[in-house]
Amino acid sequence: MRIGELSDEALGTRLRAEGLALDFGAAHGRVFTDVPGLGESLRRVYAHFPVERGDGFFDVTARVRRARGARRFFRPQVELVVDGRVPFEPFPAANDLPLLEWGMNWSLAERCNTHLLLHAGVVERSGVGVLLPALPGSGKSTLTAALAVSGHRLLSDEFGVVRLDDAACLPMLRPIALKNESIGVIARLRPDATLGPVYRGTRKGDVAHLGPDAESVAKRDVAAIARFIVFPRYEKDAATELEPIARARAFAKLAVNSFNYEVLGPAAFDAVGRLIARCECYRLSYGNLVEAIATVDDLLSRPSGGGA
Amino acid sequence: MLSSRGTLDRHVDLLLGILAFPARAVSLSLDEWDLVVRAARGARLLGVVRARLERAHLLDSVPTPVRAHLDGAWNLAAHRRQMVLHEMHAVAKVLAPLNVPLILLKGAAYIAQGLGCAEGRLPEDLDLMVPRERLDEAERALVLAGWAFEKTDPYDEHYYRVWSHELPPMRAPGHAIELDVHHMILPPTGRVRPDTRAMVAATVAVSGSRYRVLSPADQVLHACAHLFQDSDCTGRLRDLVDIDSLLREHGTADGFWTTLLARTSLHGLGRSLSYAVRYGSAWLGTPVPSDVAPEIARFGPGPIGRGAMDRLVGLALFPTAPDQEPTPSTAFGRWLLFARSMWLRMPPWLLAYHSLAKLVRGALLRRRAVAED
Amino acid sequence: MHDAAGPRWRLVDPSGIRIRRFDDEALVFNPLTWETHLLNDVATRVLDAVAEEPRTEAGVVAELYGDDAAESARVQIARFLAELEALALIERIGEDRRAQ
Repeated sequence: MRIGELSDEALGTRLRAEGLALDFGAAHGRVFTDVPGLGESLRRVYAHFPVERGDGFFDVTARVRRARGARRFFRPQVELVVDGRVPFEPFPAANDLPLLEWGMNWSLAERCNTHLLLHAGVVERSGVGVLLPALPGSGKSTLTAALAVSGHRLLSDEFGVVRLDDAACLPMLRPIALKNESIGVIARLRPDATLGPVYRGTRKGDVAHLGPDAESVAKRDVAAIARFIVFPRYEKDAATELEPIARARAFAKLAVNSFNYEVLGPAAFDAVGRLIARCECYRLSYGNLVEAIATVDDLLSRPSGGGA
Repeated sequence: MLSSRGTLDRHVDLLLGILAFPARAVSLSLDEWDLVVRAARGARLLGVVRARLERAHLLDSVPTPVRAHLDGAWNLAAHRRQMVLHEMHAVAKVLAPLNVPLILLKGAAYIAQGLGCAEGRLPEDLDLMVPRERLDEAERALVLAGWAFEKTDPYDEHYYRVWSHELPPMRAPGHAIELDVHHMILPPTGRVRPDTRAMVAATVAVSGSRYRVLSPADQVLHACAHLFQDSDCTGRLRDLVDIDSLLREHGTADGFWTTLLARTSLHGLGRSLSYAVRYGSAWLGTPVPSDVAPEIARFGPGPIGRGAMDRLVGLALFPTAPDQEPTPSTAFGRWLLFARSMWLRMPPWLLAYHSLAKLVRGALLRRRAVAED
Repeated sequence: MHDAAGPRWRLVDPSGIRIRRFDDEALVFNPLTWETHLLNDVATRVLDAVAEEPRTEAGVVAELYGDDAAESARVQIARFLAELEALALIERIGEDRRAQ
């Protein structure tokens, strides 16, 4: 059974009592909430995820609840509770899903320390993986989302999970947070994409979440070997340009765009080294998303994919 | 009445149980592991749990998804350990040429000595003790070499220098570990003053290093004093676990317990030691020889004082339940312990001044914050 | 050969250091600080020279530029050595033996 098929009652019971289990692949989350409406948003965005038991062991358990005190009624807020602590400032009550998604990402980033976590999207097609690392504002999420709705298997948007021993990429399948214009762009690109509600007035403007598709969910336990590392850079009206970048630079940029590279020390150094040695490294400047997708597709279908 | 195992919250019971008896790991359900891991992480003890399981050769019995969390915590601890080693290296480069005696305290000492106690720990500071008469010189050398004081307001800085037993915390740019330079074990204004000179005289050199560490007995006593005199115990279960680890490791050495009793009397730290042993035995199964335990208990308070501490320490030491926030009674208990630690740290008139000053500053800051809204 | 008097340079931790080379550049893992540094080709060659065996500054210059190296080369090498020392990758011996 899929989460999208749960009745209101079944969904509500899970969220209030045993917890709603979310299997991201490389991690398992569990959500509790009594905030009305959040369940429906979760059902939309996690529609293709399997229904699993809410008891047992989970990597993150998060609860979204209404803020206490005066803020319960006047300009109501919601807050996230993880392991008895409230780690962030509350959000306006309307922005419950963004709070949960953001908080879940943060919690996963801080406690997942047996794998290297790169700040990167990862997609795969025909057995070839592409790593898309980027600084915020580079358009990485939009590009990753666009690739995901254009025939590529999605492994991650926020967390490029790299296994330390063989530098393979593991799926950490989470909804992709699209902002402002990107929401419309993706909706037009793929009208039947699984898009959650649009939340307005967040710190980053308008936010909507693209839910992972059925095929990506089905393969959430299947690793991918990356053969290409592509640093995207979106700039309005820019020409599409794919340029090779020096491997040593790519190494440095990956390390800098990581959640736990420093903490993992020598193991991270070795894993990134292995990854870089195996991949061709490029910078992709673009202003047109469709052209960017075509460029990546083209790259993947070259006969000799892979590094020295 | 000391809370027996049966009356402890489930997450506390499970966590204490696995620390005291690692073999229990074999029979934990996934639900129980979920509680243990979350409680241990909150108490910063996840790495120590792994260390104890590994020492007992039980890691293979841990379910795979759980193991990832233990290993993750272990990796974090390994990073912290290296950051401490780096800081030790950098500080020695600056201070060793001046021939200043350098004594490591607490976590950094455990690392330098390679004690089992150090495994899985998450140190944040390097605690260094230098002779009082060399303090200014050391401070100058460190500042010259790039260390800077962490932002403190003039009141705090005055408090540190004049009334406390340490320089304000320092940090070199880009260094993860903060440097705390002390000249005594406990604040000189406190009610209990251990014999620092005697502690220094008994220090032991760490082979292959410029640093010295406290003798085993003094190391234990310092940890006890640090927990029961110098802090408000809040969430400090890990400090009690440290003492338990130290006693398990040092306790097997010939003559350790005799020396411990003698040093306890010398330093006047009997009360703290008695608490450590009382709660360590009850909650962590700390092994204490049967002829020594009554001697240590004699240092403790009378039944009423003991009863009060039992309640307070129980409330304050343990991590909150993973699915709840603290109840009002826990909060009050913690406040009481905090008040007690301040009471022990400073004479009454200074306490009043300190409280008043903090209160005024707090009010000023709040007013400013509101104005800026 | 160029064992003139003067301090020698050596790696702080020869067993823990890791070097990954890509074309002319190298990524170096510092086992003491757990930092990773990107070195250009000259810096890499200086590090290699010191890693091979403890060398004086003159020895490093000779290794990279031969016996007739210009003064500007010596100045450049001195700067690289100072930077590598600041990163705690290399240290001087022969002066202060009590580094630890």
